[in-house]
Amino acid sequence: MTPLILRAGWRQLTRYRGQWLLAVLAIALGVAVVVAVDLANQSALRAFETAHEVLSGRASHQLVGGPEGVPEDVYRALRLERGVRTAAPVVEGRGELPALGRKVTVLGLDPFAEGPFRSYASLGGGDLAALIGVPGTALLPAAAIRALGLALGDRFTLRVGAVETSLRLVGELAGEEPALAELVVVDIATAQELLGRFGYLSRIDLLLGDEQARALAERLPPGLRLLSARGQAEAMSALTAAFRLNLSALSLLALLVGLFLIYNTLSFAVVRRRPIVGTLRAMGVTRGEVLAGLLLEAAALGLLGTLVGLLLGLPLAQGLVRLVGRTVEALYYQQAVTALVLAPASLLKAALLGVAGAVLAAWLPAREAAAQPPRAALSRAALETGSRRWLGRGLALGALLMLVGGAVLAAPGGVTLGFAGLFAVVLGAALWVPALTVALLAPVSRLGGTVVRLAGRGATASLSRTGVAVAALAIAVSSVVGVGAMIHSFRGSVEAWLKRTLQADYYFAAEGQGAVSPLTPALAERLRALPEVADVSISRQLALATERGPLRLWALELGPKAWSGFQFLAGDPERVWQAFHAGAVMVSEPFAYRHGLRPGDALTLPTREGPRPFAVAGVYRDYGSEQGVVAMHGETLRRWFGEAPMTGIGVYRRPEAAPQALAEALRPIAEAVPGAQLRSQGAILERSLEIFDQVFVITGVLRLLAAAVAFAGILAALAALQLERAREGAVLRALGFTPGQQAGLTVAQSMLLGLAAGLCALPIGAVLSGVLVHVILRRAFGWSMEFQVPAATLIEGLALAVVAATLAALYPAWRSYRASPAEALREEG
Amino acid sequence: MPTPQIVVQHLSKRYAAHGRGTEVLRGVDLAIRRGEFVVLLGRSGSGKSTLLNLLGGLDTPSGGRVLIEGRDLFAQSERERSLWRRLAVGIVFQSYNLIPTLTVLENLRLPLELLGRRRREAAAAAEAQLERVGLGGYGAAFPDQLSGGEQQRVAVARALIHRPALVLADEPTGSLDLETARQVLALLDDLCRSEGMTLVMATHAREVIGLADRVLTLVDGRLRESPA
Amino acid sequence: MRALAVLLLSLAVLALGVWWLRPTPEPADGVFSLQGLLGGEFGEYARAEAVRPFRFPDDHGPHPDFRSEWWYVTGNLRGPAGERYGFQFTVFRFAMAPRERDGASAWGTRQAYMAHLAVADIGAGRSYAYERFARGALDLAGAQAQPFAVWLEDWRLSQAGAEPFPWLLRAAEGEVGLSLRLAADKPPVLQGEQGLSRKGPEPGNASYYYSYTRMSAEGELTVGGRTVPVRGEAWLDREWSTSALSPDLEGWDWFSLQLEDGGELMLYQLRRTDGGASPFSAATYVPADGAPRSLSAGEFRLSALAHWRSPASGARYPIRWRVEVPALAADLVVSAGIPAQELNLSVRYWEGAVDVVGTLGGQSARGVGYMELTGYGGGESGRTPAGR
Repeated sequence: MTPLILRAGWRQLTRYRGQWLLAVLAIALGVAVVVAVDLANQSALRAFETAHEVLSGRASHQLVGGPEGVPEDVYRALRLERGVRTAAPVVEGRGELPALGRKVTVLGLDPFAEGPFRSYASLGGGDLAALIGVPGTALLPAAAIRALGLALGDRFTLRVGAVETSLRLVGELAGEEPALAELVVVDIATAQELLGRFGYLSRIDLLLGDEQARALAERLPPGLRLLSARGQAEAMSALTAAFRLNLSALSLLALLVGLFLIYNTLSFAVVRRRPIVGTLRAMGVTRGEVLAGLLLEAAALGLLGTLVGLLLGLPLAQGLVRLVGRTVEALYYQQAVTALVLAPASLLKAALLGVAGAVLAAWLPAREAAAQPPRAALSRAALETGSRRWLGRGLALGALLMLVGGAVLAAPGGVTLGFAGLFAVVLGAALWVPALTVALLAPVSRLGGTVVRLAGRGATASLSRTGVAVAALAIAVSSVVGVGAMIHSFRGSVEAWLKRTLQADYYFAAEGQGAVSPLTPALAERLRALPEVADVSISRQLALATERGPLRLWALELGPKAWSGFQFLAGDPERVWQAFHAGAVMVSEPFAYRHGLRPGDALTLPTREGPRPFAVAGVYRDYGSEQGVVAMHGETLRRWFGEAPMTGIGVYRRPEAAPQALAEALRPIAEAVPGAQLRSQGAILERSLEIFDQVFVITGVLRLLAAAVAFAGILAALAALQLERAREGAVLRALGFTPGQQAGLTVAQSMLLGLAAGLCALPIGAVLSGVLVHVILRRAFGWSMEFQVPAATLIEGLALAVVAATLAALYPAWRSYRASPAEALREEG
Repeated sequence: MPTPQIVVQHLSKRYAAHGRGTEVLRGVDLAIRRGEFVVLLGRSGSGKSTLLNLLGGLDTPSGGRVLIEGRDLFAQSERERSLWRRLAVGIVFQSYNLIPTLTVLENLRLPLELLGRRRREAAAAAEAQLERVGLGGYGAAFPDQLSGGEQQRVAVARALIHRPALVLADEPTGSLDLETARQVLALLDDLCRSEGMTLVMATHAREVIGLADRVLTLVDGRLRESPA
Repeated sequence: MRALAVLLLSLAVLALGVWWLRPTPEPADGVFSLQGLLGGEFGEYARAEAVRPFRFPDDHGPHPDFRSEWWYVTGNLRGPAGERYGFQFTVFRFAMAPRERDGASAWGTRQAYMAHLAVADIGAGRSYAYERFARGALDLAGAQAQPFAVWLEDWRLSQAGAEPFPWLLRAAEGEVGLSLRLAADKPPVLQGEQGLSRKGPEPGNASYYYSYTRMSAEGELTVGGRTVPVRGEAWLDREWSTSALSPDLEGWDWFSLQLEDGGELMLYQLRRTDGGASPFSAATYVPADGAPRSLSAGEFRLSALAHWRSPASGARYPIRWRVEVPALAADLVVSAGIPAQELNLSVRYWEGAVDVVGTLGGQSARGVGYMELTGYGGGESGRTPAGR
């Protein structure tokens, strides 16, 4: 291949700089979205891992106990009698730095035992002596020290529950891992004093060989369990797997749209090259040389787009990470993901995608161009005929894909398979979009005046150029519609569930997670005795650490008034309640889904007397936890698991009492109990929905990103189209079209395309949301919900398509407005 | 002597190319009477197309004026020029330039509909015009289904359908064989003369000279009159 | 070929970017610094400022208001076939704060304990050293006078029965284990000025220091997976203080020599950074029978005869010495049983069994002993927690 061929290509690129830039932009946007989401996901995962690493250190095992934790004597026995050297006691709880308004983990360690575990507990210049030897001393991560503006020796306030304690800063945690940022490290004695957790440890971290672990497990004190840390970490990341998968799927959607665009832009660029290719072939340049030249160009474009995309992706990822962090915090009560992790794998993946995507996308049109007989610059008409054939093939392939996707969705399988099916369906539908567009625009092309027909025909005729972009727009819009409808259904179901569940008029909740709850049986009795109060319910929540992650137990003591708050998806309510009081458990829907439980089944739980089967009385609807909850009577918990601190008291008003009177009676009681929070039913509902909305902020952002990518694609396609149609425009001008009419024609054509894309997107979106609700959410979270597609969402989607297409046409329209007809006529004239 | 329909005064056009300007027209003066058939000769690149584009208001001059019925064409806005062109100009190109997405009949209807004629009326006029150029029955075809000669006849029909006062033809036979070229020229001449339309044609075809009222040659950006 | 050049250049930039963005590995972590354990100002702790009466067995127990304190047992043992072993067992106590820690947690304490266990298998030419830390709470570590005990987890030195002596020493870790019964063959020797051992000119820069210079040891020793009955002689040093090495001192050389004639000789020399010996260097001679005799810095001379460089730390230790005490007509050569007796722990020093030969009082003398060398090889960790 002679460099002259490349030079001809290069000149073509520089000559149509705008088109070239748009191609780069399309690639860049696609790559940016993918890399940003991937990085945000990696960061979330890494945050989980480091959070786990930071808290557990290099422990291979953890010794855990019941609700109270592990008696501290167990630790001494371990060291003195069993000679286990690599053991570290941990007292852990949640607190808050009021000055920063930030929740933190209070981690109490014994520095003498830490050597093999947590490196950050090592103290370079810190005052370890004061940390251990003086009460009320703490270590903070560098970031928090900066944020609080502290120097060594200064004091800061830590709040645990309702109690504020002034702590003296005696050192800085070694290391800059982001997960450290949420830590306050204190001596284990200080931790017990801060958290009010005397005599007990949260757990004992161990570094054991398999043999040692087996030996220890065989002779465990009653009520204690030995867990492998690896299992714990896996459970942690499994916890968010579904969430991350959802994000990945959305980013793949953006990628799909991006690949469409790359294909569209590059095939366009290649088509424009046909005359040159024809001439070159006539001069004896071989097919292979032409192909290589075109592909090399595509690779160069892809590379440039990728570089720009990576640069764009980083700040985008930064923003997404914050959103992901917020969502994760709201969903999983885990530490926020605040730092962006630059995973080289993500960057490489995106880079490969950009370059390989560009080359692949250019492959088909390039091969076609290379294969053309010398000097036979195909006429547009021939091209259009070709594209008609393509429409037919698209319909067939699309139908096949949709059938396969439907079959995959109908078959049982995991979330990943669900997404695969969904993608097949969406891709299949996308292949139908160009044909549907032709059909939709047919009336416009046949009816109306010549000018209108001109617009309609122009839009239809351009499909060989714009078809893919229109399909991409349709997919983007359908995802907006589909995800929108899914969120609507979800929110509606959650709201209905909340309204049903929140039966009490007021709730007392315990702040923080201290071992000692401000809510006491005495308080409950006092509330019950109020003349305005008909009944109170008591709930205790407890997370038992297990090999498969935390198991949430919910102990209830409630009167019949509260019973109607449970909607049983399985089991006869009457009998469920009977069994419940007799010691059976109820499980939430996700729990039942995950463990394949039905009423009558037995569920084995690790009680303090060892594993014991419990009868499952019923399955109730619950959106509170995707992991699922096991509900049991308070007595059942006490009997088999031990005493757990009270986490909530529900207060039910007597029908004859005035709501105002109850509120006034409760307020002074709440004020007298520090650490107890009084919330009305309405406030909880509001707050819950607020959290719900927050969780879906990132989804909304990703939807918009997909739409933005689609917008860029339409813009690129239209700009390129306009370039190609310049001559036609000039002819119209010669016929007497005014510049305004000329521009209007461009806009009208684009609007028609947008309208068609929007109309196609509506059914696709409806199907998409149906699959999300009935397949994906069900499989990912175990939730079932009412499916609704609101008209507003549909209208919104349609409007988005038309507006995006119209906006995308503005620049090309302005260009055509400004174009000199004489110049356009001179070209290739 | 009646006032000329078109007066061209010191018209010049320079193209910026690679930093150096190429002066294509260097002060052209010309007057064309209504109904006149003027032929422009000249080598390739002598500026024939440029002069035609300027006469049709498709391009703007670097200097000089074009007066149409006494009105300065380039003192008007782009929009006004477009509206004037729509009403009073018909253009025939060498490469036909039919709108590929419109049928032959629709191509003919387009100028009339642009002028606000009723659709049915426009359709009827288009049918009639198509008959006149001998292509009745081709109305439903798309341009690319016609031969070159047929396409150019449609182009001529489209250029003249609204009976413009001025017809500009830029090498209308350049892409046609001799026989077809003769037919198209005859058609153009016939239609223009029968309607009294002014025809300015740039061409290489020597056989046109016999039909023309006046023959002008562009040399070095200036006009030289030769006897008809 | 401009396009190709651009392509290659972009690839290079991409590769560079990926390399640059790759996360850097975490720096390796270390054990916490021992210096960090020594908290507070001297002034707030009790100090060894004046001569005090010693009371036994009370003084075997801890003195929690002093910043540091140790129970230091060293000894030479022989196995059934006459093979030689050396052992060292030390429990250090550090106060991390001058006042008791308030607070309701059972974990709360201001006392930190560190212990070292070392065994030298002279015949095999190998030595072993281990270290432990624990807080003085929850019975993880501690010390008490009556009945006497000092322990760190299951390493324990305590009285065997109702009587103050004998003591039992039990400690095992890794490849070594000790189970010894220690009897006090001689009464305690108060070092320095009636037990007040000055380390520098400033008041308070001193320790309270007593020794049991000859304790017969009998029991079992495990090394390299083999447990053998052993017997031999041990030496107990007890010292507590609130002081640090003066800045002009770089370390010390300490000897506890037990001679076959029944006498013992303890010497230490505080080395100044300028190479000379501090005038606060001192020695004590305990004759086989009769009162101990204190010797001042000017009354003895120590000179190094041979050195050994530790392959582990790179520190160069003098492992053969000439000891001259004109007043005792003593001229002795002290040589390490084996050179490799360095303890490369949080604190790095050389502590090991030695042989003594030479003359004393005009007669030939032989014996065994222990030698401690600190402050060699530069570096931050060449010092034990406080002046000895």
